Amino acid sequence: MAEDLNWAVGGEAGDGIDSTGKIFAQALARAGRHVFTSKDFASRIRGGYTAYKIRTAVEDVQSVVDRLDILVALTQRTIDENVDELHDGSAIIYDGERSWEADIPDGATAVDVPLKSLAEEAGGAIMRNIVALGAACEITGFDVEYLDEALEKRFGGKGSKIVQNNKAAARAGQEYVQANYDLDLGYDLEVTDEDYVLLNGNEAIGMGALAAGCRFYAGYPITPATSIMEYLTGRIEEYGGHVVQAEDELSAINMALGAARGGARSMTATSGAGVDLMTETFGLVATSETPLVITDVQRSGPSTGMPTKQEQGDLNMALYAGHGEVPRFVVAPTTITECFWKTIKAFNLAEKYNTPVFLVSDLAMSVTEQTFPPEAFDMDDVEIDRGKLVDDDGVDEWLDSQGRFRAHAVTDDGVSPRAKPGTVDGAHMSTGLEHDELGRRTEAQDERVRQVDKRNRKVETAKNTEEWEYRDFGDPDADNLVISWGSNEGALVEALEYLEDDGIDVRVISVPYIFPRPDLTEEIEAAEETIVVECNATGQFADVIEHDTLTRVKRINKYTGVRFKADELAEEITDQLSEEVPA
Amino acid sequence: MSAFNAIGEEREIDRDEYTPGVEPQPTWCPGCGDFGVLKSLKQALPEVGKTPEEVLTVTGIGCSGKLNSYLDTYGFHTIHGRSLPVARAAKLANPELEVIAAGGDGDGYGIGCNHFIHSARENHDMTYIVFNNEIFGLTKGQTSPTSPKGHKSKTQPSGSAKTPLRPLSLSLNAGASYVARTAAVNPNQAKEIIKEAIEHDGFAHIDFLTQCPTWNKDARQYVPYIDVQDSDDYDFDVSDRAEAAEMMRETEDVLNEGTVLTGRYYVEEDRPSYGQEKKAVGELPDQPLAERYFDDDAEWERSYDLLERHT
Repeated sequence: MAEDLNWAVGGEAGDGIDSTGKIFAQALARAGRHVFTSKDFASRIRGGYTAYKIRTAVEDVQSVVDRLDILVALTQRTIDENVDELHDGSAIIYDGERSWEADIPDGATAVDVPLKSLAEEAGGAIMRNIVALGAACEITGFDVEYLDEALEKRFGGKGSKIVQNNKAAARAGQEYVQANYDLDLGYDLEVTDEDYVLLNGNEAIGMGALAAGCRFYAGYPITPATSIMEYLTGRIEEYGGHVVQAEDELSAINMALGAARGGARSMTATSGAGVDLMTETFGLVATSETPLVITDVQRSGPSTGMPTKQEQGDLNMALYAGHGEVPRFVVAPTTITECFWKTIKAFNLAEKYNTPVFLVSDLAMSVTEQTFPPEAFDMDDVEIDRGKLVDDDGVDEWLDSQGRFRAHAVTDDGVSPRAKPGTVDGAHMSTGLEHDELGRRTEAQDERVRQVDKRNRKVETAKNTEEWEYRDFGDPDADNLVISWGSNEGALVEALEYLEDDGIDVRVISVPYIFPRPDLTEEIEAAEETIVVECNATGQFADVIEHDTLTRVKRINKYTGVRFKADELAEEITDQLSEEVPA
Repeated sequence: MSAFNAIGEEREIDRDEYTPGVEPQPTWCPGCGDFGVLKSLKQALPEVGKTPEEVLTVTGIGCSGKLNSYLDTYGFHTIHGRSLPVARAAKLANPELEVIAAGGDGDGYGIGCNHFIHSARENHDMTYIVFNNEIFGLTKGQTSPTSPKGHKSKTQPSGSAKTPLRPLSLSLNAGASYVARTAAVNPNQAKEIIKEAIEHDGFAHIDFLTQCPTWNKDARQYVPYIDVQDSDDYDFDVSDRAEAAEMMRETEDVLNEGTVLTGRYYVEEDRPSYGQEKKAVGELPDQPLAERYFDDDAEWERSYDLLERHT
């Protein structure tokens, strides 16, 4: 098990919890420590509570656990919310001068620091969280200087005075604890020479889009997808692109479609409720054979559901959305680095096959910040394949005997050429109606069949020529097989360590491709037991696996709105292995 | 060389170039006003110097949606009500493209009305032609957003209880910078208005009265028509918002009484388009978004710069 430290700051919404947490996370990353963060939103009591949690270790960390070592509590409620995770070695940093009487659980160490007073001395009460960060540094044996760079990054734009004040505030907190407490809780954060990058899943998708040459994005604000739009805004321009905030999701997807018709690599992103609206245009994208990436950052549904909570409930929607039979690809990255790489893959699939691609992520991945070595995002490995996009030189070979461009040419691989408006000799019609090779509407039976077959043949071609590999962890010869999709991979990989300690051998297969997807028949036949893990109530992926392999599987489903934790998963898997296989 | 080699091409353009080998025989009913739109568009485009390959026509669903099947340009036939977002994004992706969106009154004033309002508000540099026949034609005669109050149809057998939508007033209030009404029965005026709309830098909305001889049995032929610019009975300044608003309101009121007023209603020359606004603040590059893909000298930007903000 990783020698990890679990740290959190919590208070009311508006207390600067997020930025405080992020500053500490950045400082840890700069000190060569790995970081995995999570966020708590109001849930168990009434609204307002929010917390930013950091798990950090020298080794890679990919999950959260049910243990809290250092808690910066700006409110009593922060303590109450986390009481189950505190233990005898925990320290709680709080401000005893504030109006609330801290009720510290038995065993935990109370560290009363006059956060507000010290912040005022350093230049303003607003810096009380920074004082707390300094105090946390002292308790964890982490050099307060590591905070400096993060503070410069956060406050550099506000002038050197502000930066200096914040540095002073951090030192005031550190020195106060040093002078007033003689603590030995055993925390001593080791540092390394590594220099990690820190980013969340939505940033990785945005960065992947830029690297893939996406030059147009249209979206409508929706939690938890909005941060993709915010990431691209102000950055895509540097690469010659543009972001539009549309009047609704209907407009967003149609604008993304329009820009794709115009020749630009184009994307929209939303969450499930937005996909509901976009589904109207989904069939048009496919029938008109327009390349488009549609990102769904899943959240808890249906309807408005729990907008800030985790769920993987949109798998069936991604597979089946739209009336009629719509060819598509469904790609679902399983980690934050994969959010980057699979976004690039999604753009290439879209353009190579002139087909819509659903890129399916989820809330847990979108808000989690995690450290990676920069090599994990090696831009030299980015390949861009625009498929059969033709310029004026390429148009000729796709003209019919009367010089008309065959935009929906029937080909062996099913893929037709694309000419963007403004290309000489490429003028053509495209439509959501069934059409012939030239894009002319038709209801002729033979033309209909030719075009349907052609479009479906693209998917077959892709199935046979692209890689649809899964990710394999644990013992490949284990009798017990656990299959998962989406962001559960990290927690499962860590759960393997718990299971190994208990002498249970498990193979984990993490599947990033939902359609087309790898055939797991052999893997399931080779295992004695198969469990499918996912964050939904009905087991949508388990259904798909059973359908593919004609084998019953066991299921672990979680739909509380909270992601899986490694230790929790290890227990659940152990429990399931002793159960009977369902009939 | 530009990726868009048809753009800016200077040559003589024959209007026959716009008649495709594709679907040359329109399937509209005899006497349909839609023929008038097609004809005036075919006349207008060569006169403003546009080749077929410089033009993208984007249509919605309805009889009007067939427009680009009979017009040889780059054509995209969308779904019901969604022509505008597709059209305006294509324009952003390649600002040199001449983008014309078209649809019916049900398409633009009903199901797609939100896009109409916002496209006008944002003043996208494009032309929007609404084939207004005050009826749903393709689905055989149901009440539309512009059907007169009291109009009887299979879906409103006792007569529509709804006051018709005011397309011109709505357009003005939403923010369109060019608003005109013409009629299929007046092809010369229609051609001139289409030319002005195309050359206007901003959102140009044409409410195009297109008689439906089949399903609008009230036989509204939109004759006789009056050009408000030619008539001595009307005197208003098209650049004055208040006067334009008053004239529009009167025009909408009298249409249902049988008086067909047409012409230019509002022209705002100096308001920047969405694209111009965005370019001014550096949020939209001068170069078409798709251009760099074909520039052999432009390296793909895939440096570690992208990672910088994450360290």
